[in-house]
Amino acid sequence: MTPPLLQVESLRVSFGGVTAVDDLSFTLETGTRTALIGPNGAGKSTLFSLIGGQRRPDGGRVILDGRPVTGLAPHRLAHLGVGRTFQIARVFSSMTVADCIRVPARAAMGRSEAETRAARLLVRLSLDAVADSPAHALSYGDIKRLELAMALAGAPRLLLMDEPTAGMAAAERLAMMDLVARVADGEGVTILFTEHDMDVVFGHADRVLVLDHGRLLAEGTPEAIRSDARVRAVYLGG
Amino acid sequence: MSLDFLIVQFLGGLAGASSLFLVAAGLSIIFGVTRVVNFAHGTLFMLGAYGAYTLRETWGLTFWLAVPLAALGVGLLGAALEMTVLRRVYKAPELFQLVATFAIVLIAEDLVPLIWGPEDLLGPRAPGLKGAVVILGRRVPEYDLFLIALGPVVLLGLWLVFTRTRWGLLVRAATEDRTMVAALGTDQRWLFTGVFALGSMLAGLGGALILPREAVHHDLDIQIITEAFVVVVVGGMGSVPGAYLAAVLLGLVNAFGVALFPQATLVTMGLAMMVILALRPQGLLGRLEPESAVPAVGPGPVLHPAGPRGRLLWAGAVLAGVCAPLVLGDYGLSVLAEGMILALGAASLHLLMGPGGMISFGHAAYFGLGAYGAALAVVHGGLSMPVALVCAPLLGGLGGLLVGWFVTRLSGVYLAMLTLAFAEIIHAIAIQWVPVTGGDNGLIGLWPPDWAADRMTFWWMVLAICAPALWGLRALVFCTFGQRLRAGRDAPTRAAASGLSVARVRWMAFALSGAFAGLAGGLFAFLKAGVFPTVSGIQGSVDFLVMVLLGGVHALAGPVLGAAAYTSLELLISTQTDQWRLILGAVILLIALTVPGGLASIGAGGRTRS
Repeated sequence: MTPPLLQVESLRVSFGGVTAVDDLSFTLETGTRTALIGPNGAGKSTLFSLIGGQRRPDGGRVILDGRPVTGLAPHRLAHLGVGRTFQIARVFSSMTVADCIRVPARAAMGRSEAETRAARLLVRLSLDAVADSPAHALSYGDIKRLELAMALAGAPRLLLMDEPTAGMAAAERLAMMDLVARVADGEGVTILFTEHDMDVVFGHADRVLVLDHGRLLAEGTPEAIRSDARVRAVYLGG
Repeated sequence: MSLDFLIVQFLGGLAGASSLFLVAAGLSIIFGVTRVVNFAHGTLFMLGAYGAYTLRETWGLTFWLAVPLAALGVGLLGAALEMTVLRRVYKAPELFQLVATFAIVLIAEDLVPLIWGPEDLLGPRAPGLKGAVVILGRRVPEYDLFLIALGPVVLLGLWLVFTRTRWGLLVRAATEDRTMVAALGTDQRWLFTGVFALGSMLAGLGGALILPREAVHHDLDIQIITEAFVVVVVGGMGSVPGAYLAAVLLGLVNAFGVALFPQATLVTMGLAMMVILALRPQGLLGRLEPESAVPAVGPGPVLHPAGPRGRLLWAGAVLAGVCAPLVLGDYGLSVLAEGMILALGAASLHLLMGPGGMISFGHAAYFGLGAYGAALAVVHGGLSMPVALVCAPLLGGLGGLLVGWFVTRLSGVYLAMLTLAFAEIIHAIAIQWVPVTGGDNGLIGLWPPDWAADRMTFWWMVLAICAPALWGLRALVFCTFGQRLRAGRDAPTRAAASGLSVARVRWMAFALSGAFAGLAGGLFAFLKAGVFPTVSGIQGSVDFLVMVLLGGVHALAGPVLGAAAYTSLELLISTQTDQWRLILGAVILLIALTVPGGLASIGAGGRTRS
């Protein structure tokens, strides 16, 4: 049996007396799409930065594909197949859209392969029309999609998306997540994403983790979570 | 080592620390609130000293009245400068304020000797504190004890102002988060003016108080600004108690250094600073800000390789260079060669500043390393010029590699300040390692070999080396390495999450930049037929900075334009008048106020200005 793609074991971090992530454990099976939900301040973004290497945990382990990767630098994790997007999308604003995708692709693979991949991502994420525009001139929605393309450029096996649809209108949100689902299914990418919109969560996740005060409150299928009394109490508002 | 010796050194160190603390505190407060790195702060210190001298000696006021009045006057001057100059350039991109404050330094450097004469002035002793106290059989001046007491008193006073007054609260809030103060509905402009006045007043006070201890001279500004920068960095940018702690610490290191290692005082200071910053990069009491809070250089415009017209222009320039001996005589060719060499130096700094988004306050260090590398190869190694010109970039590159390893763990202004610290160490080694570097006498007799001895051949050689080097620096920006460097500047976290080791790319940029600067330095050594410690000094670093900023940080042609403008202005004005710094400063100020995007933005139709 293949080990799960990601195992998080007793992960813990605190800043200035506040325990942001508290003895957290879960696993992600290869090829699954998991939503991470919880009220503001539950520790979702912190957890992402612990898995993505932006922050070092105080304790616990992160295991990728059976290999411990706790506390590795972000660029090392990227080379091991962890890609991510940020809550506030960040792109290389002084480059053209095409170059923004090319640079991370080149960091992961040879020149010709990277060119092909960048060109394909431009089309798949409908960015081909703006390929030669400077990234700083893009609209908000385009920037979100560009960042996703940049995260996918390195052909990650695990994709962490911190609020991929934040600030979007309802229709845009669903379109964005449909796009993510198509690309992810095509490449077999395992996804962990945070999201506030319950329609998106229940429509696009095959598993849901509920975080509260840095602890795992519940986990299960969307249906199970929807009917979980504890979750309803702290999060879904009864 | 006896106890009385220790105590006397200790007290001397503390006394020296007080003046330094006053200047550094002012610099730190100004930086904390306005984010302006005020190069003119040493000038304000010097004006405080001269002002107090005039009030005492010419107007006949008592010393104890002259000091506060001089401080007050400098404070008012600071407020006036803020309102007339800095207020117009706060919104300018990328530390451009630095150019404006540097222009003030230049102007004052010529005005001061005009007003007070070029000689050192000896001030009065402080009435009532002329004697000495005997401690353990050693005489300690009473005035030193007064200075020692003054430091904590001023620290307490500032603490009261910052914690007990509404104004102080606003200043602290602005230091924490500038946007918040604007949101609170406070008129930010007056807050900034007030902070500038206070900081200037502290500098003026520090200057006035040295009168009984030291002679006043017109090089005080550069001398004190370096020390003040070091204190601010070691103490933590924006932290007043940190500045006090650092001033005391460095004052003591200096006092004991002078006594214990008289040959290496400056190096001791530098090493102390290096150790502290290696352990605590944010300084003793500073906070490390999130990288987004202190972007020294923000994202730039999209860069494009030169189009057909641009290429034609570059080719034309090179051709004109090749033909220059037809028009120019020996002197003209020397000047041209110097301009070309400085352009390469500025371009090497631009690689760090523009595409790299890292500001180096100490770039003359690598230029100097290259110059010394070439000189040592010839003088001590007996090697020929071509070999020496290979040694130059090697030593410059090694310097970049070493310094880069330390500084690229930081970003923004912290990184910039650390480069200054390292440059000071390298400068200090050049001055104090006399058996090798010749100390202040330098290394001379670096004549090019016979085949390159005439100015025409030498110029062609400079052109044949610098033009490809400049082209190489330009090509670097567009290759994969340059793209990664720019990616790390635009969005460091994103770049890292995309698999780029931002620190490593930046480190390599330092090494490369150091190598190119070293090459320029090597050529410079042969142009001048010698090397002196001044090549690696802060003045040279500032010159390179001004060239890059004048030309435009985000334009690839910027450093070449900036170097051309700066050197030709300097030449043009210095042949017309003795007060060339005054005029040069005024011209630079004018450029800073009217073209904040740099000279290259004029040609670009203001595109790079947004």
